[in-house]
Amino acid sequence: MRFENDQALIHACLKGDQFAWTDLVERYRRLVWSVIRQTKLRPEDAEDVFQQVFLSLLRSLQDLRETDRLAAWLLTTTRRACWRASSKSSGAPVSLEPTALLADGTQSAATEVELDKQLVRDALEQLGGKCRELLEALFSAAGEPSYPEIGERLGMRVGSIGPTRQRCLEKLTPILHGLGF
Amino acid sequence: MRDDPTPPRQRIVTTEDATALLSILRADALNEPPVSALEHALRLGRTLAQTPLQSGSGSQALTDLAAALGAIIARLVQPNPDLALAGLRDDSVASELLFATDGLQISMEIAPARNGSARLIGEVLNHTGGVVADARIRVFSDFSQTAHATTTDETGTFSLTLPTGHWQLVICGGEAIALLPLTIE
Repeated sequence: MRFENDQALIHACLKGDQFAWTDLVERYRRLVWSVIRQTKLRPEDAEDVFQQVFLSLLRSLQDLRETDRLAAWLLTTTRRACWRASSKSSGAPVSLEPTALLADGTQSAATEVELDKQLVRDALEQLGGKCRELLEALFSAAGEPSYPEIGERLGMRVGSIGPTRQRCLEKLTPILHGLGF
Repeated sequence: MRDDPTPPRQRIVTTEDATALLSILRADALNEPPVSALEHALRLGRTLAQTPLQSGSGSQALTDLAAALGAIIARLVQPNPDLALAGLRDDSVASELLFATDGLQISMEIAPARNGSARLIGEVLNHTGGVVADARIRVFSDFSQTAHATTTDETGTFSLTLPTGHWQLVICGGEAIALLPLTIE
């Protein structure tokens, strides 16, 4: 990861660094798409919303440069865009919370989960290398992970996956702790 | 953005704690956006160093543009007779706009707004001056959904009718993308 945090990324973007923008999109693509997927929009509408969210981000960089709450901002922006797209196509808005914050200023449980997921993704990004690949393969798959398949994909012996997994978790634990967990 | 109190989280001390936390990522691999959507979002970054230019004074505009972007291949797009549709060319005060990015040159003519909307006709060229057919033009209002969309025809031209207001045009042609702010008055 080339940039220490979101503020550094945003500052670099504002200076015209296209690689910073790429990092920004890559970092948050799954967060944005996970919200869009929940709305069950038509594929073309879903793609439109994805592009709109990042267009809004691009146009808002100046206002966001001092924030450390970019993930929450993206969640809110995505949900609002989904509401509008859904209302336009079906006439009835989808049942998603419109904002990341509740009226009393706290975060809803659903928002908390999404933000926690993003922090765990960030932790894996910081971990990097083979450990990141292995832990993503083990924990991000849709079904039960298959050690033979993972071994073949990552070029590892099946017998070494367990011990490597443990070593990777030992490296990941302080990173997660450092991110506030 | 508000500084609301962050609720306490489970403290991660052991690898078992980390394992439990990682389980929230189950099926996260399915959260990959389509490649085309991701590419469009990534291409928006090309506009970060891009200075949209409103051209009312052709050569000076190009000089300014070249100064702003450094080496850039651009040429003054001469008014295209084919764009002189009835009702537009008659308006001698029609605005002529010229934009250029690292991959696209876009010229547009906007007729004065009538009854709250204006006709916009544009031409999209690549950096060598060749017409870009099937370029996708999407028009957004700020923080809103796609308001209008169209594509260029085989001659690289497109037309839109837009209500008065502030708009963002995103033009994707081949591997190039342009983001243009536009105000219809």
